[in-house]
Amino acid sequence: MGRLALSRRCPIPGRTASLVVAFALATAPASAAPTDALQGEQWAVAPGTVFDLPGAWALAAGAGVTVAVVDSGTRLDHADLAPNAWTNFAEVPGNNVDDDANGYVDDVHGVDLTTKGAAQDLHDGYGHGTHVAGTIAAAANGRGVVGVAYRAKIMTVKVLDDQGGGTTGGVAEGIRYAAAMGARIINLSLEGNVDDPRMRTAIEAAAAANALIVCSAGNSGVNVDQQPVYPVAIPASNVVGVAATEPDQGRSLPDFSNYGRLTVPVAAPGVEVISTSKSGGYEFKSGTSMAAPHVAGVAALMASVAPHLPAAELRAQLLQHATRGSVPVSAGYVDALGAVLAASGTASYDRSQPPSLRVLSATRKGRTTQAQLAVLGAAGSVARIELRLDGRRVAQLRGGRTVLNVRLRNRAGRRLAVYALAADGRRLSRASARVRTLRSGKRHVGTGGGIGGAVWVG
Amino acid sequence: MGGLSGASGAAPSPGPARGRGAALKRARRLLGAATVASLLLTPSPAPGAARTITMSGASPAQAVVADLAYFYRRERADAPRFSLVGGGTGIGIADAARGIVDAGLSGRGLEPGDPPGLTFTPLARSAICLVTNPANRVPNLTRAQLQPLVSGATTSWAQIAGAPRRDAIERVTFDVTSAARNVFLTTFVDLATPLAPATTYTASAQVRDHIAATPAAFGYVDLEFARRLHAVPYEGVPCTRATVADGSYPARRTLGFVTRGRPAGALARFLAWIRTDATARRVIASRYVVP
Repeated sequence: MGRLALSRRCPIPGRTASLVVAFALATAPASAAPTDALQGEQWAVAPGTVFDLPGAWALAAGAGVTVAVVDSGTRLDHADLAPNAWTNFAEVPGNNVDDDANGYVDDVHGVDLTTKGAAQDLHDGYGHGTHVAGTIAAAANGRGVVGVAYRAKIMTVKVLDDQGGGTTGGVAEGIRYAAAMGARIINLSLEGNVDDPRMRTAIEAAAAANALIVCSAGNSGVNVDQQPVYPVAIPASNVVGVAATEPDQGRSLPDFSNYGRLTVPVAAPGVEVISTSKSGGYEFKSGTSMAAPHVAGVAALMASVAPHLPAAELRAQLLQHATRGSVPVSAGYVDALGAVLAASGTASYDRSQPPSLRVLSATRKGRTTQAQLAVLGAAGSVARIELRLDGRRVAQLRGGRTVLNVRLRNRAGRRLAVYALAADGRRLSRASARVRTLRSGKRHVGTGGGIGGAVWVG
Repeated sequence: MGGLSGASGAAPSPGPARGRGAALKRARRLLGAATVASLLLTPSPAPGAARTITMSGASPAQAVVADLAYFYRRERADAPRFSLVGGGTGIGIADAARGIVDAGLSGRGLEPGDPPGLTFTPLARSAICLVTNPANRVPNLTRAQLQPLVSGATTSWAQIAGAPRRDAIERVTFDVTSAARNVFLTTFVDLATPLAPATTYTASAQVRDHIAATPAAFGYVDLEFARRLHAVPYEGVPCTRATVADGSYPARRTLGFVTRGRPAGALARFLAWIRTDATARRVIASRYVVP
């Protein structure tokens, strides 16, 4: 079945089909396609829908990609989620110390932005985030359900309380945290009416860190082009809005789903979706909140086969290879196989440009300096990256990466300069930034407008 | 940073014993140091500053704009970076309308259903070529032959006069939102002609690769993407830059930039360079026809 699906949309049929299969064998897990106990209840992952996931699984499972779930927390000990929980190995659990000097204490599996308290309580009292996380990355372990990107890691960024309420300030801080901590995909199954500029700047910061943001379109049944809801209506090259589809091969939009031929580019399964529940079992939910994680999962599959593809290019490929239909969105139905195939064969224009360095952030706490750097353009031509604090060389990093997180212990200064060097020592690019004193996290918690999960209670 | 103060300090005048050569050597050395100093002192652009021109949309336009951007950056020391991604014409126009990109790359001019307030700036004149696999060099197609070919009434290449192949025809097409499909249908297909099922793609490269790998395939692609395929003459007129330029080939289209309002700033300067610079016009002429 997988082979048939591959050849159906393979860009070079016939002769190339064997190449695609060979590629799949080289990169995909050795095991066969997942067969979890409740998979029969997951209409979205079955063969024959326009979502077309089984073919994509022959190419990728999301390994090596971190997806942030900015939501109501996660039941981390759920048997289907525990294997794929993201871990911050620079943080020592339970010592009440910000070991990695990122402004957050004990953020081992994520961060709790529903309270200004220093501790991180990631438990999900609402059940929304646990459901979303399972759709993205429930493990292929023979039990329960299987996630779209069943080998991706889930970073928990809790911004909704036990009643499902949150604030735009908390969401903005959550986006920044996720991007700074290395999430490649950020899922926002959230909607609100307030256009908080901090969410816009946070999304810009995530773009600089090469993170793609997948947003639910909202559940009011309105045209978002005319009645904007946020964050989906924020225009950015790294934001993908998602409408929901019903279990009729995934082709119809339910009445509750927002839409918009400009603002909402894609549609994906979002009705009667079974996934992990906060009780430790499984439950059905409907909403664009359930559609967005399907797309976040596909984006994770794409990122796993094309780790250096810029977020804007990931979005463009996702949209270009969506299946066109009569639904009122700008691109169409997400086609998992088409998108993953396209990502695997895409040569990014940006990667052909001369390399250019950017300092995304530079902070110090005591004698520890931390920085996040981005290499735009041909990162592969950068052999080394040299760091100087106040003119003094303090570190040299291996090149070839597009985003680098650096922590320098016993090194402090006021100005950070970074140099990208070629293998022969030529200086390819330079950037500098003032090193700011680290301010403790959670400053934006509880501020801004209200925001909530986009689950449909019909 | 210590070296910078020396580089910016006053240079001592050369002593008479040193001679002209030594003075030149020192001047060169100082000039070099000053250059390094100025490079180091040049402030890097502020985050978010408009130092990158962003575009998304049609892949045929993307290819020629990538070439233009290369020469623009080579000729202009102060040229911005470019960020070019695909997505297709529809996404390019939507992104431009929402301000996600500076310009959408479009395979067609603006239409009544497009968002209001947009401006189309022509880039190049192109065409949609009828194409077959290079191993199936069909000598010509007429409008009368095309109708049953598109509708599925013609099922085998044996039914097409002069076609070397005898096997079943495999039709390839673009999705319904494609600008190329619109040109194909409006130019070659009668309104009364039904459309047979066909393998459908969203990107020009996919169609090209499918036809290049499928000996019995028939489809259509942009002029630039027809290079590796056999472009079938239509009513005796070949699909070439020359026939696009002289207007004899009918399936012509204009590639261009879609912007929200009139182009401004760095983008306007780039578009003006495209319109006036000899190198830019040569780049366009290497793939398409200068408008």
